[in-house]
Amino acid sequence: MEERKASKRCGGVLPFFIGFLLSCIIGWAVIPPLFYQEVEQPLRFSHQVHVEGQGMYCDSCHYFREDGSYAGFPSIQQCAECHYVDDPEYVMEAIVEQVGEDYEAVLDLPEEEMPEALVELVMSGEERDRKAELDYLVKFAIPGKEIPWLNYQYQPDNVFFSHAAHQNLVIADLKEMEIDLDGVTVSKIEEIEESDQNCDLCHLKGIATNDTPPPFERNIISGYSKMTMKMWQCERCHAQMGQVNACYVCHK
Amino acid sequence: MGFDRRAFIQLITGGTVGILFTPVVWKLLDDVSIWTQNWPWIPTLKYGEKLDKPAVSKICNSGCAVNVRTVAGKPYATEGNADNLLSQGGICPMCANGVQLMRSPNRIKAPMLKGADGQYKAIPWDEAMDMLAGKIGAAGSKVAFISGDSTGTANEVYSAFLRGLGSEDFFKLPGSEQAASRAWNGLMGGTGQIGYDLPNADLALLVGADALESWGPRSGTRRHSPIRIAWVKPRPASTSSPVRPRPAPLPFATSGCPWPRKVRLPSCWALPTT
Repeated sequence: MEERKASKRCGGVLPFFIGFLLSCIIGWAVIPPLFYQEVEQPLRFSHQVHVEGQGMYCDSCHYFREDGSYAGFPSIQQCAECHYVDDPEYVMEAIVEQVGEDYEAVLDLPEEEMPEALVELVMSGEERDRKAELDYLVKFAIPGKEIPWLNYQYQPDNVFFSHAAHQNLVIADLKEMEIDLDGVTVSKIEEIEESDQNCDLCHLKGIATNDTPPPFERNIISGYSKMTMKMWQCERCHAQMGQVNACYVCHK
Repeated sequence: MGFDRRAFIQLITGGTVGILFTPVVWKLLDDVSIWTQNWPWIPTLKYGEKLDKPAVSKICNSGCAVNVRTVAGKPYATEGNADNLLSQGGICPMCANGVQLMRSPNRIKAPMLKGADGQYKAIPWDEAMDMLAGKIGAAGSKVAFISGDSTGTANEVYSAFLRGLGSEDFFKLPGSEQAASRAWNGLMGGTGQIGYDLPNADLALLVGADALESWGPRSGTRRHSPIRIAWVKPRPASTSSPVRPRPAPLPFATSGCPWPRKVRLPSCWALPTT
């Protein structure tokens, strides 16, 4: 009897609601960001410099190959169409002579102390752009290594996504589309943001003119990107467009 | 207002119920299920440009003309090269599995050194190269080379290397090419290596020669060539497989005697089986 009284004294179900509220706050606001770890791209690639500064187009680097497959990230051979290193072995020898076998240490030097053979390859004007270009040259172009870009929209191997099949989607149409599927209405997807480029439907908004790529948010458990599209999102759009949602459409 | 055991249990219960109204549990379950797709031993695909690279396979004696299919520079399959005038897309089963053979776990992937206990152990390439260079250096000009490749141009490199050491002892393992080469270069006074233009022949009379399985782009010849082939041998083999329909054996023909294809010879030239 004494214990019951004590319980009433502390508010009856009040502790329950306090625990409930605390959990909700922690579960909605505190824990979800902990699922993700921010990882920087291997290189500060500025779309702004290339698109606005050099007048390049999206398909200068991201294009469809002759067989219809999508090239995605450009290889260093494609980068070399502009950032050409005539004699990488000679430049590497000059770097090694300056800093030893750990050639990336040359990036710690002020530009005046870097080998001339390296500095004369840099085409950028702004200091931060020159630094990014030197990173590209020393870490990737001269040693002949591909850049391990982090794909914000990474999809696993068991998903077949064809850029070719989606290239003619128009966001404005999609935003207004409402379809009746045998009595089931698939309503408009209100949260789609307006954009002239249909790439923005899945890709980072404004990435085409971005100066510094945002960090890749990697899920610490699954390893996937935070922006990796979930299956229900694919299915919703397919349903709205009147497309088949059978397993084999995406899982070959 | 006290905080006793009962209040604590109520707090924990409320927290447990509350967490179910957040995305945490469901997100955790989802992520763990996705995590199971990414175990390190699960093979992953290569992405990149797909290219076909023409090559000649050395796996079989035919030297099949193949297209090695690659993605991002990595081979994943072989197929017959239809542009090759000799094979015209033909490929033998060995060469069709060339990439699988290349990736076979049974392949020896590193130099093997035989130890004192008779067991072989893998050693690094640098160590093997040093050991080989030491042995060759110690042997001086008393070095011989036996090549198992009877038709490859690498033999020219090997023999030149030997000549540089002052040795003429370059040998090939015995094979049909040697006999043909001796006949052509010796008896007939010719020079070079014999080639056989089977697809453009009117008639090939093969007496005991397994021509469609021992050399040349046999698959293409077998599949595409309008050549008339008479093949005579006391036992069936792959060369006899194009014979369609097979005539009934003559009374004196021995078991398994393949008949000539398309050409009508007066009789089945067959040797008695022993």
